[in-house]
Amino acid sequence: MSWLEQLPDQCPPEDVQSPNGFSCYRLVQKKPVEDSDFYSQRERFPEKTFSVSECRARSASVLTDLEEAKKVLAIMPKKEKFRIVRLHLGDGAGLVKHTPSRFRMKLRSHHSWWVKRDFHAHVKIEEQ
Amino acid sequence: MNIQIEVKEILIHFEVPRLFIGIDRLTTSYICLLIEHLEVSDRFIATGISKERLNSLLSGHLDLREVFAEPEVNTYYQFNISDYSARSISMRRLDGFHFPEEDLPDQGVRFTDDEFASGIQEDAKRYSRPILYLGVEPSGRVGETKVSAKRLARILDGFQDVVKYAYKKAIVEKPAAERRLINKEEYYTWDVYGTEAASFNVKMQSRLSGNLLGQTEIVNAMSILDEVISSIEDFERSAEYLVTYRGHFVSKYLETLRLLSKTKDTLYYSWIPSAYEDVTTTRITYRQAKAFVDHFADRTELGVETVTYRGCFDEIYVSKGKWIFIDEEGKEHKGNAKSEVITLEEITTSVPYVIICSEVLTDGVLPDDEKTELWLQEIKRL
Repeated sequence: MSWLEQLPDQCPPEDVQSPNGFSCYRLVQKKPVEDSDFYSQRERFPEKTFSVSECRARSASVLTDLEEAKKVLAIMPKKEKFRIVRLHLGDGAGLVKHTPSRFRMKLRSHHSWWVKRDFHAHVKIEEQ
Repeated sequence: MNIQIEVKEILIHFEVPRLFIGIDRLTTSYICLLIEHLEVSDRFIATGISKERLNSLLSGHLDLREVFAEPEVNTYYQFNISDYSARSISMRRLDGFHFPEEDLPDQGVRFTDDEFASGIQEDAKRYSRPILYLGVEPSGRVGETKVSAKRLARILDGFQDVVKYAYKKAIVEKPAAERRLINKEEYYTWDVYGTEAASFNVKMQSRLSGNLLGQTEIVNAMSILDEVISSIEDFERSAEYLVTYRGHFVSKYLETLRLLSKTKDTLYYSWIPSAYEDVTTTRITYRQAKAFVDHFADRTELGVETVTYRGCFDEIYVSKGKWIFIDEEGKEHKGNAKSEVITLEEITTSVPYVIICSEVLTDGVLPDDEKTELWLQEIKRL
């Protein structure tokens, strides 16, 4: 597979799923949505050191529960103008893994999405 | 001035930690919020938070926005993180800082403390009836660990009165015979059965035991109360509620809000109708209470309860401005009349009338020993 970003070795991990018909929500900034809205934290901020593995840092965060997405949006910096879009991922969009956040505010529907370079053809985007 | 903190607990993690508790070497807690993604680092704002307030936040009683919009001490700190694996963070104090509106979290971000909610649920199951945890958050000082017994008692008493009159509004449409059966103290009374550690939370259960689902009529009173409080910042909608529920309920509600606005305490409660339902959490800050009381200060008429009786006057004491009325069910009502409102001279005993009175609450010796006075407002001969 060719990925939107350069991934480290053995990334994505083995226990991923093909996202055929997978619906989820993503926080994006650009209107209309651009490729950069699907960049990972690592791609957006190459100089920062993250507390997750490099493979995870190279994934895009999505949530399958709209209420959880709204909770996250509610604490995002307003001036950065995030909004929620719904995504329907087809098989060619990449690979996903359920990676729930188990901190105090649980984000049980959090998934990591490793995005394929030609994901556009396999993703349907709906504004919320 | 710089302060070193370490991360004690991450509260919200989405891609990076966005909200966490930091602790300094004196064990003072700070709550830290990510407010800007910069190219090489993320910018955070922090403010001190007492254990009690943190408990309120983590148990879902306190809105996250309030933690930053109305901090206990108006001191904020700033720091940047570029390396999330770092152990220690150096914060710089921001003098004269006002938290920009655009950086505040939206209203409505609350934690749901699974342990707290399941505690209430367990109690509802154990006692087979509705459960209420009510508490106050003393305002003003970080680390306030005491509240005067008198103040707590007055708030509890005020809350119980509000529930009582909400209950009476809840049953007002029921047929008279049914209303008589259920208009009793056990239907609207919360009884204390414990307290919660490290908080000012008082645990209460409905005095009446529940039906098969563990519910009692007090649920209807609590629903009215939740509905009214949910609009506390919407004065237009509140005005409608005050008209709908005018009388003793409004009078007691305003009295409790007045008390909170003076003591500067925040009142919060979580309750569950039965073990099979969700916990509802409601909160009134003293600022909300004060704004509400100020706004409705000149609407005292909404606190006047009006009662109507049909029947006959039994005795009239014109010079004393007093009367005795026997209603259609044979119940005796004693009351007063002000000569500037109504004259008693023309009233004939043993002739049917409809009378409209304002009912005023007067305190008895015991907390539950509430008495009323009737003041004649209108009479109509039938």
